[in-house]
Amino acid sequence: MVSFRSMDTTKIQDYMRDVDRTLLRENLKLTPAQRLEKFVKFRGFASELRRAGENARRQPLTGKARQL
Amino acid sequence: MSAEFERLLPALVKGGVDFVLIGGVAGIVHGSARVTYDVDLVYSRTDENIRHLARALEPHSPYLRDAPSALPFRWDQKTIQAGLNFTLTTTLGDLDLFGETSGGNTYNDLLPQSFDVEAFGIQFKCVDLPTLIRLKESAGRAKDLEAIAELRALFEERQKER
Repeated sequence: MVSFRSMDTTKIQDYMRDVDRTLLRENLKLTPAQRLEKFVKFRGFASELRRAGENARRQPLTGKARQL
Repeated sequence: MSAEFERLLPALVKGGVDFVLIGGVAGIVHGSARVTYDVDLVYSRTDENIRHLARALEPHSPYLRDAPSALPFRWDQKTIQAGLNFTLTTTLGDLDLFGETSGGNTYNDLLPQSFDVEAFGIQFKCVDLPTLIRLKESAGRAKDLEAIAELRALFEERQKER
């Protein structure tokens, strides 16, 4: 049994209740290399969205967007 | 700057740099679903490795992260030897280099608690999950509480698989 240092254990236990274990279980089905590849793909997706967001902020607001 | 792990890690491995992967990317190797924006490595402080580290990163314009652009900073063997831990920005992404972690762990300390990972056409060392949790805990940062909770949950899930 591995024990970890008790760094504010109560708080960590609280956070543990909210961990989405479905994501972890899916990742555990992959090899370490596949996990890294999945992450790299996700980063590409996030970068594209970031670029799109920056471009959108540069555009003057029109119509419906201005109302939001 | 976003990290290009697929180019950064091979650049170091091909440059003969001895390191152990820690931090958020190591968490991803173990199955973490958290997003991270930099690569954290503990590097060996031998003269030879410092020379390799200086050479391997030099083409990628390493510079102190969030520092004024006019600083007289040179990325070379002398600078690495004079320092210990570096938070860098490079053309391949942000990179945190540790000669020693906040808990006092060096490359040689972590080597027995690491394993080989093959990815991006290279092989490198990554710290094991219990040690990664301990490293996060010894850093004692409030911002890590959620990450520690996830890593502990991951550890539990892996125990269930056995």
